[in-house]
Amino acid sequence: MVMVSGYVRDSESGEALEEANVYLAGVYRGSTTSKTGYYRLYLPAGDVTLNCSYVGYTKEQFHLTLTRDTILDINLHKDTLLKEVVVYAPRKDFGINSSQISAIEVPVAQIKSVPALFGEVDVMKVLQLLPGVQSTGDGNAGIFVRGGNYDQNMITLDGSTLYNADHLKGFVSCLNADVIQNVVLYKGGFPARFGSRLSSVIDVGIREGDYDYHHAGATIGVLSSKIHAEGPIEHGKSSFIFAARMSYLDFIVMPIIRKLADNTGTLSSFSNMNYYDINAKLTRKFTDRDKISAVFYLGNDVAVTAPSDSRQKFFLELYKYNSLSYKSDRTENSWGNMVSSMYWTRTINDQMNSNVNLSYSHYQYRLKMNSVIENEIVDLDIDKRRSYYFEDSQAVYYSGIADISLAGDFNYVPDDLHHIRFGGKLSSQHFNPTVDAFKYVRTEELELSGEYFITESTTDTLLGKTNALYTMAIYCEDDFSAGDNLKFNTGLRYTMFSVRGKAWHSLEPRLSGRLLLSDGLALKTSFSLMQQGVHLLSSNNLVMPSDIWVPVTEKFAPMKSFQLAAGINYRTEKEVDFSLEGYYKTMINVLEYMEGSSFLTAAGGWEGMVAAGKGWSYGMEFIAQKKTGLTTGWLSYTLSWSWRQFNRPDQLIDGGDKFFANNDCRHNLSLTLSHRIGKSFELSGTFMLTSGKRGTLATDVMYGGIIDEFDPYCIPANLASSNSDDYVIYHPSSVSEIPDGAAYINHYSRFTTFPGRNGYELPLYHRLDIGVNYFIFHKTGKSTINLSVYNLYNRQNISNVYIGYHNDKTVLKGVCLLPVIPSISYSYQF
Amino acid sequence: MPPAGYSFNKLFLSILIMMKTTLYILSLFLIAFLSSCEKIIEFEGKITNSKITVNAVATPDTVFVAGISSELFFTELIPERSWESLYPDFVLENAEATITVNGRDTYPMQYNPESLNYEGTYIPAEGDEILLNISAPDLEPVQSVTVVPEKGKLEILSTEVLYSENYMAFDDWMDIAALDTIMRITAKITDPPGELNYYRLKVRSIGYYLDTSNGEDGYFMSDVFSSADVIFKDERLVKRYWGWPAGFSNVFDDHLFDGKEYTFTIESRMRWGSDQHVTVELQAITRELYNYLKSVMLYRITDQDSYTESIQIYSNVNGGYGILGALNGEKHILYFNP
Repeated sequence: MVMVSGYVRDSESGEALEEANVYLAGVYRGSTTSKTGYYRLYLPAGDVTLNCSYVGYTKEQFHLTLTRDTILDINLHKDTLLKEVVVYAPRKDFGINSSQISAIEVPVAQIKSVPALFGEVDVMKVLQLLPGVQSTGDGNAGIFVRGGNYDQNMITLDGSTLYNADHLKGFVSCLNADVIQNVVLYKGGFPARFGSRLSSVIDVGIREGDYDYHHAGATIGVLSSKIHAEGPIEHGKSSFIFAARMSYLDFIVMPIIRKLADNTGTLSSFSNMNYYDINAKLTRKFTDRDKISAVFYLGNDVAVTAPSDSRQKFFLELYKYNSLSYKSDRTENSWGNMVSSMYWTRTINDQMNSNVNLSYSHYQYRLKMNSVIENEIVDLDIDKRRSYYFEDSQAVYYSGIADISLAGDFNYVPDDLHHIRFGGKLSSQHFNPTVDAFKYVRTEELELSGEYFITESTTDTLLGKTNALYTMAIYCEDDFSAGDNLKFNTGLRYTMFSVRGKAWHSLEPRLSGRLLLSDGLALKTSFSLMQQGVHLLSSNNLVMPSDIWVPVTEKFAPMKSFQLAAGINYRTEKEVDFSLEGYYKTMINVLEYMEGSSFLTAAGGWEGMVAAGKGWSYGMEFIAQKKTGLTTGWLSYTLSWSWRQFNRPDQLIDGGDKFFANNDCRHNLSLTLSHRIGKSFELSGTFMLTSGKRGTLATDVMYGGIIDEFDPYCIPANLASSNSDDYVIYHPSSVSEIPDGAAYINHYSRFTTFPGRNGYELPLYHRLDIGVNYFIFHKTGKSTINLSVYNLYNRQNISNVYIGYHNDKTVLKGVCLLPVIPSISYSYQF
Repeated sequence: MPPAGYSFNKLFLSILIMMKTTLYILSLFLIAFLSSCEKIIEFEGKITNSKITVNAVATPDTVFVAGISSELFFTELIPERSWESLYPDFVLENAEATITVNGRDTYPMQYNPESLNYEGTYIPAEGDEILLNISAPDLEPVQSVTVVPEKGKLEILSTEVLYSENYMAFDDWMDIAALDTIMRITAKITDPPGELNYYRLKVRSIGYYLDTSNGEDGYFMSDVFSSADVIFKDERLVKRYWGWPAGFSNVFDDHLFDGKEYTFTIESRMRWGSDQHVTVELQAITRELYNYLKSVMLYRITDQDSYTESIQIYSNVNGGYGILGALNGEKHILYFNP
């Protein structure tokens, strides 16, 4: 056998092409290039015909007579027919050729063609259109993947962890499409190199700047603008790429609209929302084999929302009283991320390369909720206040994480049948969750003397302490072919989480496999064990969204999950991909707040407020994708269930019975289409339809009985014959006797309850977005005018609910954050 | 050659068109922002979907009764009547209630307007499986089932009567008729092995009283007792409630002593009057009644506000609310002055 090896590069820019196919003509025997574009094949001596192909490039063919080891460097040319047409096909092929299941790469070009909110393309919004991924709703950050909570998703920027990927509470994401090279989503079948999260890995690669030419661009929109620039620092050796974005909704647009609008209350949902972010990357090639990159990200957000306040008044006929009630709520939210990393990529030899990454990530989150309640009863007979109640309460949630990690990853390709990866990671995370809760209550009661009896009380609690979590992980995996039709990825990961006084160990086996049934048909399956050492505590109250990050502790073990997936992939001759996949996932040690828990009364910190339990989810996902041609897009549908159960003694939720998780979303349908008309126009549209978000809302009023026990707030059932003043303490025997020792419910309390945790489902969510890109080609660059309409038919999708007053009646009010929003932007690039 | 003013006119027209387009786009934004984003959510069909609420506890040797009422959606509460709305307003007087015992014996129940309860002739026995079916006009029928548990086994090992000064522990709680004497009781539970068992310890201190001025007699009583034993610890009850200290619950399960004998000590305060005594009863209760009582105890000490996780009042009534529970206990009477 003879070894043929070399590098595959772009003929124009010299950029290495990862995952290019190099194979023998006529058979499936071949290899894909590594991150550096390197490939190696072992072929029989003699005459061979070698093909090299890569999406968007013209296929090259080489006729070789092999007598000894040969180096063949290949430069591929962009397909001239497609040169002016953006190709949407991904670079990583997770289709029929790959052993990887439950993964998808979203091409940057596809992201840029999807209709944009505020003219800003959004990576996370595109991910939400994929099967198995759902949004947490307008105005809420994060995604749910296969029934997992938001904290179970790992988002990495060139290997560094990003804790919150959203701006403006989910309106746009932190991921700037101008600097992104690729976005890969793993929902299952996790290779052993990934860990520390149960549900997904969103692996975002940042582009290196062009080594030869300078480029720049700017985009101006009605609500936000951005700039980016890249180019060589030293030709062919070092480059930079820089991008920055900011919105000016609050200090430019809103003041104008406030002057024009009569009812500024309708603008309350949009008040005080702003963001900015900066991305930068420097790369230096020291030798042919060594390259060092430095990556930096900084982003910040501010949001203030205040649903309109409400009042209620009514007249009490019985007592001739006027009752007046007032309620007002306000939320202030701010959060920010800072990520910085430096990594060294080295080609050790022809078979092995390495990547060593040192990174620091800092995340901070602050949520302040304020509520004012006022009730007054006026006695009309004496024209005086009879009673008065005033409550001013607020809670400030602060969550901060500082994460330092050092990781080393090695790729070893001993032959064309095996691709081995191994490595390890050390990280230190410091958590600083703090809750500062305050409540002031004042009451006034008119006494018989005519004076007021006034009481005041103040509750002020501050909870929180810093926790450190240390993580160590090592892994090894092999992606290998066992024959022409069988391919496997097997791996093992060992993870240790260490907190004060306790260490948690786990072995996490991984396996995925592919059986090729024909040229375009493959069966796939996988199982994976995952472990996670951090939790995001979120409330189930639809009225009280609050998130704080906490680590595992001596009391609460790491979360674990076990996932099985199986699917079928089919590719047509016209390169339309179909995929149908089913999954089943179980989780243990998931945390949720227990019923009745409140930071206003918790004494021992968050650990005394939560319960540990289990979850399980299952479903079916379908996607049909067209990736090449003038019309591209996909149709996806997910049918899924997600459950939770907390039945440990003293940690019961919902009586220990199972209940729907708040991310249970039965149906999720999306259709995305892009069509190119000539060189100048691109039309796009997106339609989404999902089941409403779940949450807990106490709306049912009932009377519950108390077993024969003194309770002054209880009402005797038999009013006719009991003296309500002393029905328990002093019980005259002339009154009906309560048999001593009998269980007798004769006292009742009024409760406001609900049929089941997360039993309330918001109305169906659906919307249609459209967009038009108009390209103008100049001598030195290209202009793009984008016109987008978000939520074209103005569907008022409800994101949160609260109880208020309307026309003096108690009602349920829904808050819709994103009505129809047209936007226009202009950008110029050279 | 076009006239000299032609290019000026063209430029002016272009500016006008651009301004017009900009105005249209700005108008679209104004429409978007001025659209109301707050709406009243309609609950379709909710008015007809009120649920039946059941309150019933079965105990051996006592005629089985059930309180049957309706639940209301919060928007149906009439504020003007909120001060008057009491349990009698919720009672369903025209429901049909039937008990089926052990799958064979059926007992209808009738409404008693004096007690506001539905009553029949059935007297539960230990081990009985009770199926309760209730229907009412315009309401979905409900069903619930329970089994009367085995008697809780409690042995009184010793009692001591001690002096303990009575003091006002809390500003808002006047412990009426409480004296400076307590009874310290040491008792032992024998827990059956196997499944989880649930208990309620009822310790009632009673003193009889005769008012010589009017000849009326009665008794003073209190169910509040104290203990430092861990089985009564409930960290979720972070506030006191009318004599019951914070973190204390007389309802507990056996996870700390499953299948074993467990000894503990409690204290009960003497009441004013004569024949003062304490009745101690370890009631074995059903899991559903345990969950219900725990949820009620948590609910009554918790402020229902935006900062607090909602509390669900546990229910084992299929299609409705409330509780069908059962308990079985053995009573011990202990006299302060035997």
